[in-house]
Amino acid sequence: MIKSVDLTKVFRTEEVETTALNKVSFEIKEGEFVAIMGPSGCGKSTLLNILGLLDNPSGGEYVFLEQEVSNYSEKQRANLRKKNIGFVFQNFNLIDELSVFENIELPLIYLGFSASERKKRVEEVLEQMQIMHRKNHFPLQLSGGQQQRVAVCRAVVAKPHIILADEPTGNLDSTHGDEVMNLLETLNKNGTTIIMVTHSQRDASYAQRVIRLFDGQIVTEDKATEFVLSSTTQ
Amino acid sequence: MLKNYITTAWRNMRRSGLYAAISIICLTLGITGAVLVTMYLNHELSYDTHHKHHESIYRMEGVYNMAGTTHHLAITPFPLGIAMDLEFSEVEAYTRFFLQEDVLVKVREDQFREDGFVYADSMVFDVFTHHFLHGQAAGALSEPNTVVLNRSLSKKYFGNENPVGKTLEINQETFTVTAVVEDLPDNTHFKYGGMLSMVSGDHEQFFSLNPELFWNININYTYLKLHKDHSMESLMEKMDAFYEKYVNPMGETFGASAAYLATPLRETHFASVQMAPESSSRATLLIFSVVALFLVIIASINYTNLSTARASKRSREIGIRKVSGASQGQLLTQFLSESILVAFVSLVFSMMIMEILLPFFNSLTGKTFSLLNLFHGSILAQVLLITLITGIAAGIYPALVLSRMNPSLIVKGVPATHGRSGLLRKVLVVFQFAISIVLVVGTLTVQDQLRFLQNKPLGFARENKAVISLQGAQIRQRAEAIENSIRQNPLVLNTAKSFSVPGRDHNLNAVKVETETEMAEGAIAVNYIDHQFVDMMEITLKEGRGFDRRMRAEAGSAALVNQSAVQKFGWHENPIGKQIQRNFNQEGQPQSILRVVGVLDDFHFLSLKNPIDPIMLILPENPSIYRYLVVEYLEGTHAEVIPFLESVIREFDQSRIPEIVPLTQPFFQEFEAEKNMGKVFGFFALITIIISFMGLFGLSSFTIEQRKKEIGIRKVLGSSSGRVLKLLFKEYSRLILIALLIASPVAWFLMVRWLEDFVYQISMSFAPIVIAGALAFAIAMATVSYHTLKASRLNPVDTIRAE
Repeated sequence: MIKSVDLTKVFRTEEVETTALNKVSFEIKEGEFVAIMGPSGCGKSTLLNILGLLDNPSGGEYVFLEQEVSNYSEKQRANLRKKNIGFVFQNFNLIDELSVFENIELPLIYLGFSASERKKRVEEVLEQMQIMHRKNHFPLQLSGGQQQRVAVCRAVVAKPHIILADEPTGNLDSTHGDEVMNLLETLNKNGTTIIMVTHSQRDASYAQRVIRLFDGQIVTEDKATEFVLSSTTQ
Repeated sequence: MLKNYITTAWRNMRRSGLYAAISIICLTLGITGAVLVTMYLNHELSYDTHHKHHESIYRMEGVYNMAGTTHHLAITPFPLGIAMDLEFSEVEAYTRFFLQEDVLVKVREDQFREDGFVYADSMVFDVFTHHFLHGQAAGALSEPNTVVLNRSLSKKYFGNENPVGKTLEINQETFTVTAVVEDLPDNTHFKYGGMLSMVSGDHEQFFSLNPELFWNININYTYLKLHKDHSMESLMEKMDAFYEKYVNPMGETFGASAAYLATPLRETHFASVQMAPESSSRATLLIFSVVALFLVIIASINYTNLSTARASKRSREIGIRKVSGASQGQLLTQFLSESILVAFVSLVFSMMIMEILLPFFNSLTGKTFSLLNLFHGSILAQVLLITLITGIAAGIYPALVLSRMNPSLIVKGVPATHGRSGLLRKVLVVFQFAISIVLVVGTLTVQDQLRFLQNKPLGFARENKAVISLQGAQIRQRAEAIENSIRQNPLVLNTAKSFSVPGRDHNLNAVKVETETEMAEGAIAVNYIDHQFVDMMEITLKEGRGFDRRMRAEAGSAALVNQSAVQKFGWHENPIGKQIQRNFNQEGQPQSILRVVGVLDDFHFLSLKNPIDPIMLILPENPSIYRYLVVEYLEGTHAEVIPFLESVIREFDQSRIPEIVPLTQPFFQEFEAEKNMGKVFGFFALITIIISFMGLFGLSSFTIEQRKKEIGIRKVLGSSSGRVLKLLFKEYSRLILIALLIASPVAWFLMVRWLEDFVYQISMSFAPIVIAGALAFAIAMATVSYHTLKASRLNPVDTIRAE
């Protein structure tokens, strides 16, 4: 489903050049739950952005759903992204000016769903996530756990192939954190591929395997049974 | 999707309170200006289009050349229309309007003084389109002493009755009403209320083709309607033979020539011609349009500035929308629809403001606009289009900036940086202030120039003098008796009679003047005065003597001339005794010969718009020629003297309403257009200053909000509030200084060009620029210091922690 070969990302400012990812290669199969771990600044989020088609790599290949996308334009990426990827962020990233319902329906709007279809789908996920009673509330009126549940609703409402979660429990206490992890686990069991960046060993334990990054390179992998590690150091 | 955009926009506006309010207020002001100007432009460009045949109607104008002086007049001799109709098959119909000013109308017991009467040819209704309320066009003005009234006059004289067949007395002649027509709309260049049949009264001269009458020009306007498929150009090509036949032979006897021009009816409103009934200038339209355009631009700038400044506040939303699948195009549409929404909200507010501003705008423009005008014709579509364009112009840059943001950075909470848009904001602030400065300099310069003209010495004593119009032959013959009655009043110091008074029209005589070698052709203005006139007006005698009461023969044979005449005729050596010949007969023989007895200092006998031309003052042979009586009274007694003068005039003529005005009135009236222009400048300058001020207020509030942490750190490190203030002052002063540097030469250039149109002008000074610059600095500093002081008074611990 996802394959990266020598994926590299370099950030340049006027004076400094930082290599955030250094020839990272791996493969993720459909239906997997993979955690990416590593210390701050190791390139986890950069990798997630590239995997999520929010950014292009500086070098290497990135094959997403059998398409080589590393040189796709913003428009092409947006098109592919909106059909296939759902995002969950540490800071929830809900739009404060929109209600719970309006936040969740956002991806459906950009996919061109009719109003009635949107209503049906949003209510489905609201039921599923048990926050129907909050549908007309605004994000700032909800607890952190509830906000993250809304964010998960938004991530799954368009039924994407993959969910990318960036520290999904980082801003939650352990009870709410477990709640969210259980949600992700359930989604994975129902066939959704999940890639999650986390600091938490506890969260990582939900994953089937863990990719560990250090200084932009893959250093190790746990529970690795089906995927090939190929990290080159210079 | 649109609902989602509008919902977000609306909630965003509510959340951002101050900034949304500033954007809306500024756009409201900008759109208000633009809508007012749109109404004005539509009105101005629609002049006379209500006439069905307006495209084939022309006004004839005369260009007269006399002794090197050219006059382009909208008035024409009586025979011109008849002769052109006779000579050119292209002419389908013609009509003349012989303007009658100060007409006395008597209806039963009531009397009215009217200015809106004309003698008109019976073909007037073939040329111009009138809507008949009573009676009909055919034959309405064919019979002698018939009159067609407009709705207003009909109502004024006869109430709601149908007046057709009724009679009224006009200047002591009885006329029968044959029809009533609808009032002419406001956008008509020549507004008349009553049309008298041209075949009335002493009408022989109206229908004679006597060549002499081609040189006898009354306030008579000639309009031609051409047959379809005929062009005025081809007609004008055949005019040479016409001049030879009718005009040139007589003109040659006194060295004058004439040519006629045809102005298309729609253009007459803009034709800059002497004696035109009412005209406007395209330059005014252009100034209005440019100023309105500037208003919209600077209002849009505020929106652009505040939106880009606040981009980081929206960046999370943009990131979320992008990861949710929004394309750049969709985000662009979202932000543009937001700015368009703001523009339309502003339009609603601007309607409310217009309701308040319209009376003021109407007084400036002399029009009668109402909000209902917006719904006429295509104006509404234009207004909506302006609003849409304003919305797009204001929103396009922020939309581009916002929609291009990189979602990968934004969603991680990294604030978007705007190095380039920061510079752009500064550029836009500079631009705004530059425009404000130009308008302030413009306002101050216009005021300076008007003050200069109002205080300019006129070469005669103008204070404490009233001018009585001697109306009608009867009263003119009794001028001396009236004068004696007036002199009985101890408040009256002196009186003098004259044919014309300074500031009003003067006749121009074609003359031959004595030079060293020959009698040379020339032109000179003339005024007939009595013995007191020069002394009472305190016109300085430079050379020779004034008129002598003891020398009766001086009437019609002696002349006082001004210095301009001395210079023009080259009489530098000895002007006294020089001969002036005038009133030539068909053989070219002078009927009147004058000798110069004295030379006067130049004085402004015409408007200050003209340079001082040569003039001669003559004692008339016939004293009943005087049309004015000038009365000098004790200072401070104006309020008592005027009623007294009115009562004296009423004693002599009860049929008329006395017309008494201050001597200075024409001089004060003539610069009305410029005064209005000054007010328009001032009005728009005020709006631009408000918009610029509000823009800067919003922007500096935002900048300082962003720099709270910096201010906090500086304070922790020991900086005082004052030093923080100084730091920010410096930044904004630089922008204002740049604006001043850009605006000064532009304002200078524009105002020097504007002043060039005046014969008497101030020289451009730096004072208005200094004042405008100081004003801009003061406003900017007041704004910035308000926010800075507010921020620097905060506890630094809080501001640092908040970050």
